[in-house]
Formats: sequence, structure tokens, C-alpha cells
Amino acid sequence: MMSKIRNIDRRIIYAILLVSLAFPIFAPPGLPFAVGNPARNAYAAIDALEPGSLVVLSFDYAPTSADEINPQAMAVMRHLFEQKRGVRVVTLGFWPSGPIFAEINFRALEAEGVTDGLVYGEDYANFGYIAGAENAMAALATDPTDAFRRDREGNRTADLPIMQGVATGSDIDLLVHFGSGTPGVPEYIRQLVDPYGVPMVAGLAAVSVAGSIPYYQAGQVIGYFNGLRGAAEYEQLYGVAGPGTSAMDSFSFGHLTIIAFVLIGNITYFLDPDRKKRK
Amino acid sequence: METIGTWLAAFCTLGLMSFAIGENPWYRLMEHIYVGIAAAHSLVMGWENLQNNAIYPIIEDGEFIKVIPVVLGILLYARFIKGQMWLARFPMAVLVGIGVGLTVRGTITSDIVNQINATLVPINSIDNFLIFFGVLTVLMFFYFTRKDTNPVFNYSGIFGRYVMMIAFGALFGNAAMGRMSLMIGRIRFLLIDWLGVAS
Amino acid sequence: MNRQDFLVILTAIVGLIIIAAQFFTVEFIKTTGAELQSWGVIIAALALGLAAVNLSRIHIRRITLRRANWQYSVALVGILFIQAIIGFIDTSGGEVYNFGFENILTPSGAMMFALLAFWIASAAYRAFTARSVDSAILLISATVVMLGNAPIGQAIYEGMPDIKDWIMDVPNMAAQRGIMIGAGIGAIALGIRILMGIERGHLGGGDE
Repeated sequence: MMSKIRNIDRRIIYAILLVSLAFPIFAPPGLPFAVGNPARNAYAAIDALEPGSLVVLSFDYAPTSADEINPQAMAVMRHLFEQKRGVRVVTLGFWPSGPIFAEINFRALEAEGVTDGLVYGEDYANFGYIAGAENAMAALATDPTDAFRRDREGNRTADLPIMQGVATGSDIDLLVHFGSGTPGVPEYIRQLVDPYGVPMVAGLAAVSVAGSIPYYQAGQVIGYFNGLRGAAEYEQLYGVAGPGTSAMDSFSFGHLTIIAFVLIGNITYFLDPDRKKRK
Repeated sequence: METIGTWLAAFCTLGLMSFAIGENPWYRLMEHIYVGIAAAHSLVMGWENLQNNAIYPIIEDGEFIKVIPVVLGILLYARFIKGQMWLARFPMAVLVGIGVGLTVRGTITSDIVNQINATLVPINSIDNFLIFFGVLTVLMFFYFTRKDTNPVFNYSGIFGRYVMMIAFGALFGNAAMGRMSLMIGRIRFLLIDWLGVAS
Repeated sequence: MNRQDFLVILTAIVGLIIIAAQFFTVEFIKTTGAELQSWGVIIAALALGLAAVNLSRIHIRRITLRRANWQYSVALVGILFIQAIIGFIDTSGGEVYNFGFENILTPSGAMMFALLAFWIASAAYRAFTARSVDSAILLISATVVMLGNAPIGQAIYEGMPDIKDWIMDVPNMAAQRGIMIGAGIGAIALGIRILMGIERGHLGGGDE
């Protein structure tokens, strides 16, 4: 009996998971959630930016992590463009898809009217993608306008008003990195944060968080967002619900389902009379 | 156009999701399409990067020294020519040299000195005790040339292993959250954006 | 001096210039270091085409020789060439290119990794059993972190997020830091071996 339960068709397991994730979309219980200190610290760092500051948003993720990280990036861009007019925003990326996600997010905010009044080249610029991973990050730190010669529009970056007075990485007031792997947090810390003293906030895929916490505890990363939960926390702090918040109920049901599977698996394993015979 | 795009995205999503039922031609087709379009994307982004960092500087700014890395980069493709694969080692030597230089100069400060500094906390609480001895015992766990008969190393290795098991459990918990997020994203797309049965 | 010796010396010179550029404020060294970094960017940009070229070689061969399932290779090569040509003409910021990016590449990539949720569920049911002290610790830690991450955990017990934060910030952090320091020392040792020419794996072996 126990082994029958243990050897249930895996497609039934998948179907149960799908239903548990889909159900809250139709009937969301709206469970509240607390905001953790890492997200609070990250939000505070962005909120503290003064007009004239230069913030670099580094889009370093692939489509495989977009559903998780894009909501974070969207929330941060909304915050900057709505509440932080005067702050210079440069988007760039060390992953090939990153800057395209920056453009997609910008277009979505443009459709809502959030970016009305922003002047490209003065308030905002997209420098695009640069190959070379950690080496490219080092090149950015050494001379940003030499590393990124032209932006996505084809303009020379050195001629853009947004880059006036920017000679090295130390002229960046805040780095916000959205990433899911390598190059990512360790590479940025080695090439930009520690050598040039640039404050850094990280929007991470959940699977990358555990390995990045030592940097947070050492003060090399001011704050971070933990996957889709981090996006929901940022939305809560900012006061505008988005895809992160609406996914939280599905999260709850999905996690409960996984934990239930673990429990059932263990109960059937230990109660299986054949287990002792095999031993 | 947006409707066509949504249906196309749904076709791609469901095709790959069908692998959960079993290997099938729809999944195989989507797998090949995904690999092909991902490779095309890398190619296009590489070309645009080459234009900005090499072609325009050479043609417009007269930086002819940039011809050298362009030639070195082209030599990478010698690996596809029988008998000439050795030519690809020249650009590899340059790339590895740069990588090693960057790693050596950055790792010492960021991954070792700063991390050790952050570990040297005053042992005036349980948390600080666990942090200090946790880091120490994990490092001792990986010290494989120790003598097996030394009880200090053995017990510290066991403690270090338990600390790592907690960390791996945390890693799994976050990984589960991450993958769940991606599946939630796909389900929301199918139900809300494609079928429109929810909001 | 044979070919491999020359390559070892080339690697060492490039690496030493990059290191020296960080520690010495001699203008010539800094300029050379910056120039080498830009060379690295250019070589890496050209390297991005290797995947496309290799895939094209393999799958065109499959098509011409009519190997098993060659029809799928037609789809792969077809979409590769179509999207690449669109990208060269329309650029990656163009509307037509973005149609493929947003409606084929992004949903496919997301679904590829979302499938892992199924495998995690299956593994949680069948494989994650507390057969030993180690696995029991791992399971308990994973369960607490999952409950702490989801709002339901806070609904079950108000302090669940705090327990999760403690696990992440204390034992997890200690283990990750220990691994990081060990890996960092290993990376430096490997780097020095490469600079000294003891490690030559990146240069291949034998004449081809």
C-alpha cells in the first residue's frame, strides 16, 4: 500500500502542483506578508538618491529568469521615474538579453505615462550590452564611456549630457544589479564595489540569494531583493501592487504543496514494511 | 499583431510544458526552436557589440590597434578547420591571461580579506559564536590532508558538515521558490494574458 | 622556444599587466591594462558567434545526411538564420526582432526553467527522505526556509519569517562564507599556477 502511494504516477504530482499554483489566481486569499530587512535597506538606498545622482541599473539576466527578476526591475524603474526625477538613470547589461528587458520595461512604463517629460540622453539612457563578463565590468569601472562607446540608439556615450563629469566607476552613486548568475554579484564586488567604493543593491533570482548573503553581511551589498518575494516587498514599500504581490498567494499554495509532498514521501517511506526487508 | 504574439508565446509555452506528460514531437520542435533562436540572439548581440567596440573605433576614430583583437577573435573560429585548431589557442591565451589577472587582483580583497574581516566578530552572542565557528569549521571540513586520528579536526569537520547541510537546505528552499516563481509566471500568462479567464 | 612556451609567456604577460595596472599608478601600465581590457571585450564579442556557427555546422550536416529526426534540425537552422538576418537588418532594438524575442525566446526560456518546478515537486515526493541526520537537517532547513518565504508561513506562525532570516543570516551565511573563502584561495592558487606556466590546460594538448 505504502509503496503504491510512493510510486504514484509523476503526472499526478505535476497536476496537483499546477492546480495549487493556479487556484489562487481565481480565488486569492490575500495573505499579508512582512517586509524583510534586506529589501528595506535596498529600498532605502534607492529612495535616498538625490537629484543629480547617477544610478546604474545593470540588467544581467536571461529570459529563463525574467518572470522572477523583471518585476523587481519594473518596481525600481517605476520608483525612479515617478518619484526620483532629476536622478540620472543609465541602464546597461553584461548578459545579452538584459538591455532588451530594460527597453521592454521602459516601453511598458511609457504606455502608462510614467516616463512623460523624461529626456533621453539627459535623464535616462540605455547603454546596451557589452561582452566579456568580469573583464567588461572592469572596463566599465576603469572608464564607462570607453567601455560603452555607443548607446542603444547609436549615440556616442561620451557626448551624452547624462555622462558629464563621469570619468571612472567611482562617479557612480548607486549600482542596482538585477542578476541570476555569472557575471553577477561577486564579479561586480571584485571589479567595481571594493576597488571604486560604489554602493550596490542587488535584485537576485532566489537561487542566487544564499550565496550572496556573505557579501550582504560584510556590508559589500547594502540590500537585496529575494526573487519574486523581493519584488512583492518592494511593491509593498512603494505602495503600488504589481506582479510580485499578485503572485504571493500562488507562492503560499505552491510551497504548502511541496512541503506536503515531502511529508507524505517521508511518512510512506518510514511506514513502508518493505523498507526494513530491503535493509 | 499582439494577439498573434500572445498565441505564439502560448504555443511555445505549452509545447515545452508538454514534456511533463512525456517526450513528444511538439516538445522536440520547441526545444530545437529555442536553441536556434537563443544562438541567433547571441550572434546578433555579439555583432552589435563588435560594431560599437571595434568597427566604429577603427573606421571612424582611426584606432587601428583594435585590428589586433579582431584578428585574434576571428582566429577562435579556426577550431572548425581541420588541422588548424592550434590557431585558436592565441586568443584563448589572451582571454585566460586577462581573466586570471582580474581574478587574482579582485579575489584577495573581496572574497578573502573582507570576508575574513566580517567573520572576526566579537563572540558576545550565540549568533556571533555560530558565525565565527561556523566559518572556521566549514573551512576545516575541506582540509583534506588532516590526520583522521585528530579529534579536534574530526569533530570540527562534523560540525562544519551540519552547518553546510543547513545551508544546502536553505539553498533548496530558495531554489524551490525560484522555480515556483517561473511556473507561476507561465501559468499567469496562460490564464490571464492568453485565455483571459482571470484577472 | 616552441609554440606552447610562447603562449604561456603571452598569458603571463597579459595577466601581469592587468594585475600591475591595479597596483601601480604608472601611466603606461594603466593605459596598456585598459587597452588589453578592451581587447578582451572585442574577442569575447566575436566568441559569441561560436555557438551559432557550431550549431549550424552540426545541424546542416544532419539535414544533408538525413540523420534521424533531421526535420527538427531544419526548424533549428531555419529560426537561427531568420532571427539572425532580422537582427542584422532591423537591429536588436527593432520591432520585428523584438517580436521574436518577446514571443518565442522569452516564453520558451522561461518555460524551460519553469519545468524544474515539476522536477522539484517529484523529487520532494520521492527522493527527499530523512534517511540520515544530514538529510534530516537539510529537509528541516529547507522546510523552514520555504515556509518563511511564503506568506502562509507567517499566517501559520508569526515568527516564521524571523526564523527563516536567522537560518539565512547565520548558519547559511557561515557555510557560504567558508566555501567562498576556500574557493577564493583555490582560485588564486590556480591563477598563480597559470601565470607561472604550470597549468596549461587552457592551451590544449598536442599539435592539431
